[in-house]
Amino acid sequence: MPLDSVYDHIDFIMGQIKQWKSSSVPYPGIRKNLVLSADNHVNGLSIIKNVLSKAIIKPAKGIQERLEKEGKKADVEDIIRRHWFRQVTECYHVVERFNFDFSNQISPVLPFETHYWIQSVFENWKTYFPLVLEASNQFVNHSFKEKILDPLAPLIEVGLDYTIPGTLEKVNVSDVLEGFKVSSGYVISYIRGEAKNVLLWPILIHEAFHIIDREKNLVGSLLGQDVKLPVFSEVKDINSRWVQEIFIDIFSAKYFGPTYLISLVNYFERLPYVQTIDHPEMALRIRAVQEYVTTTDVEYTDIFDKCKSHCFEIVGEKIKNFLAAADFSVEKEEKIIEMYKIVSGWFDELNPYSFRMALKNYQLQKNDEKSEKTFVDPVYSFSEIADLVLTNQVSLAIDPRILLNVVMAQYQRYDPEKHFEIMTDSILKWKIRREWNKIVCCS
Amino acid sequence: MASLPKLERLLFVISTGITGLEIYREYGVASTELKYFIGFCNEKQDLSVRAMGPSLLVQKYSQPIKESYDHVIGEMQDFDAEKISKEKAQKILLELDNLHDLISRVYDLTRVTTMPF
Repeated sequence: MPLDSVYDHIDFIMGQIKQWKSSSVPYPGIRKNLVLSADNHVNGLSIIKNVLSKAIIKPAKGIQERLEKEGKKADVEDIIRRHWFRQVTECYHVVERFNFDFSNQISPVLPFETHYWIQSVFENWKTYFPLVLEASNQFVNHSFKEKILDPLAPLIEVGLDYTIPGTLEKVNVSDVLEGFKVSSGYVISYIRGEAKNVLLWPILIHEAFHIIDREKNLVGSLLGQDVKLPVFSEVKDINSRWVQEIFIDIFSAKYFGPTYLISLVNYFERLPYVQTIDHPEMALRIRAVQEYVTTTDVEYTDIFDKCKSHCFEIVGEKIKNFLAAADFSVEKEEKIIEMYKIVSGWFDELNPYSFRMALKNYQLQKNDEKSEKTFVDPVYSFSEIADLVLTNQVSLAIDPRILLNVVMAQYQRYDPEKHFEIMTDSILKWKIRREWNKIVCCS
Repeated sequence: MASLPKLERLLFVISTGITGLEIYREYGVASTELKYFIGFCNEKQDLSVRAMGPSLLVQKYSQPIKESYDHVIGEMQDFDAEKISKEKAQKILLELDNLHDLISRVYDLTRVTTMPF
């Protein structure tokens, strides 16, 4: 059979994914999403097998028949190698990438506990999508459809209505997709070597907001309200991409808290870039988030103020340098502040579970007496949280945003060797407490 | 552009175009591959990637890829299998080959940097 060696390879990879023991993942919610990912990858491999047979082998056989009618001898494998070798090679690479991606999902460098934290962003926006995290080489998000089905689209589309060259004979490959569904869900990729760098964890929130935007059309809904956002590029397509990126940064900062600014500066120091059609200049994004930190105050706890002042101690000078290097004009300054005001107002109107609200709820939980069984934590100040985690090495079941903001603001005291496990334990404790309180409150 | 699935899709599109042009050149037939590729060139394709920041590869290769891509798209938009000579098809094939090479290079480099060290 033509391409039997390629089929052997696909079957082998399929077998490996099927053999994966989901019981190795200790958390049921995360396990469920990884099982879905495994099914999606296996179905993607089945689609490749169908594509090879219906959109490559059959047409090649058509050419073989045509040549034989003309009295020429032709071998179908030769015809494939001559006209379709690129597609066969590309299929091989896609198969390998599926295998590689899935391996990077089931053996993450970023602890499984952080999956729960990112999933909570969706919950706080009253929405749910299956999500898996994947060690990779950049912070980026894809849907399963984009990762698995879209690359194969040209082959599938060609195959769906294939006419054998030189004949009227149709090759019906509409069954290429039959029975092989790629279920919806998302994958957030992160930089492998940065997985244990908590300073970059807020970038995961940025990616989560891109996904929420795609599902809930956050930017589109704002523009649909006849709101005129400032123009940063005269080219319409480029401007809309830049606006979207700045929008996501503002939403991420308002959701995560003031030290998102530290994260952004840290990221841009490590991976600086000049503006592209997809991404506005770094200074614009920094300035928008700086405006949030500068203009926001929270009165009922010292956590926000302390995070804010430490934040400027850590990155204040760097921000000045970024803005100076960008030659920030008065006009640009006015535009970005206007942009911040509009987007920030839109965020408040949507009334999500912002960092400000997280702090308020944390502060008020001592009065939360819905049930005697509700787990109640003592309410700590900024320095108490910092001391408990960074000096006494105590895991706290508090909102990870509060924990991360305090730790990032006190980063000079953070030692990954000592504290990384405390951070992940804290997230796990917080998740357990959250679920427990949900059960108690609803029972 | 440095999203592997997007690059894979683009590579499949170009390969399909190459196959279509080769079949046209050798057998004089406008195959489904060729029709698909002409259709692709006439649509506006969104090649953007939702990532935190652009990759260095994008900054380095985006210009030559864009030039080659725009050139091919321009040539293919005028393509009419009834009127175009096989020599012209051959010329487009060479440009497509060049584009395929460029994107393959970015793809390989992107793949390599996802490997754990």
